[in-house]
Amino acid sequence: MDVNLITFLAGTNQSFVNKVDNLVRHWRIGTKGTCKLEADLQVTMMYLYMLPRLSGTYALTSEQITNVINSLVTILNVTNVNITNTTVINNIVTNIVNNTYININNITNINNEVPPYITTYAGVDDFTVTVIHTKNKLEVDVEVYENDITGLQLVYPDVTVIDENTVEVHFTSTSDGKIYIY
Amino acid sequence: MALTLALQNSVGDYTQITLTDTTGDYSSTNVGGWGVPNIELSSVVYAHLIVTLPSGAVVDIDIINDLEIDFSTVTSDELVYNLTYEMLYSQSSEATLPDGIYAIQYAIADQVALDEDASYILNTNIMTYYTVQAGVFERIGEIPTYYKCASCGNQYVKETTTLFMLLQSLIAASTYSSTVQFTSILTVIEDILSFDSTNTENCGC
Repeated sequence: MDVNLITFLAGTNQSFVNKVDNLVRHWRIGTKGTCKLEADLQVTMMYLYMLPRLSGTYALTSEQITNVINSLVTILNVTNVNITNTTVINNIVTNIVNNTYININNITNINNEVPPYITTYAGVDDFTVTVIHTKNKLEVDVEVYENDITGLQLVYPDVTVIDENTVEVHFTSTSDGKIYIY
Repeated sequence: MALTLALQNSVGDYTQITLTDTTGDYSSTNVGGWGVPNIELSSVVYAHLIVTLPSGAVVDIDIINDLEIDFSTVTSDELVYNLTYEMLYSQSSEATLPDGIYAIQYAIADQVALDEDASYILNTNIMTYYTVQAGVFERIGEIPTYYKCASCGNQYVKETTTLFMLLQSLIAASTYSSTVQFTSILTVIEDILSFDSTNTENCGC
């Protein structure tokens, strides 16, 4: 599979925007436990600022750039993309600086992405779903997708972190769909 | 109206400062330009760039002799001055310009020496930050190594985020020629970068 890096960066920027929008919505409804998401987004912001500006004597090593891109892929949950060829990475950065396009070859399935815990839910009126996710951490990202006539829609119910492996999701009306825990 | 000098600068690859005279030719819409009734380019016999380096050392560059600009033939759109590292630091090889403020005085006269009544002077500052920017990028490049505990309390990320914020403000200070703030922020970034954060065990896990 060939991936154009400009397209890749455009995609990651779009994912970044979506995640920030997600964070803002969590803030509006007063969700607790968003600090990990904030830290992830700060890291992403720095990556996305730095990558197109690398040049000259002090540019990073191929290994560092590969790690940064793979970290981006992991944080933004980009699926099925892992850039493994460091020579290509160097060309990519050079070409980004020169504002030209290049195709990336050597794309393999990502092997270091931690998959989300996914569960389905359904309930009527006011109800609470207890999710045991085995992530073994307090700072988890919770995304809830509700079924409606157009398909799955991202919604923002109240979330309570119970412990490292348990969260409660509170719904105020009849609903069904999927819960993703990152 | 007398000649009103104007300069544009770019730092390019950080081994030289490129100054472009953007004064332009005299016209009804550019009354401070080169040519009658102002001083003509061909009349220039004194043209210097006096550069005060971040270290405080002063370098006097004779545009006519050192940069070999022939004012008897040059046109206003050809006045481009490349100040290389070699020239500014009297070194035999190129290197990255040290970070800091380069205070530049652009002086022109139609007499062999500057004179209060017959000279034109423009003072400008150019601020470079390439080395500290590279240092901050190096820190960002190391985040994947130290951001493993998946916690919002990661000390390395916190420090790097602070450095990133300081770098953004340094760039803004450079853009808006805020010399006092630039110097202050640059010093802090250099201080923080001198710490060895790679030894931190405090990842907040």
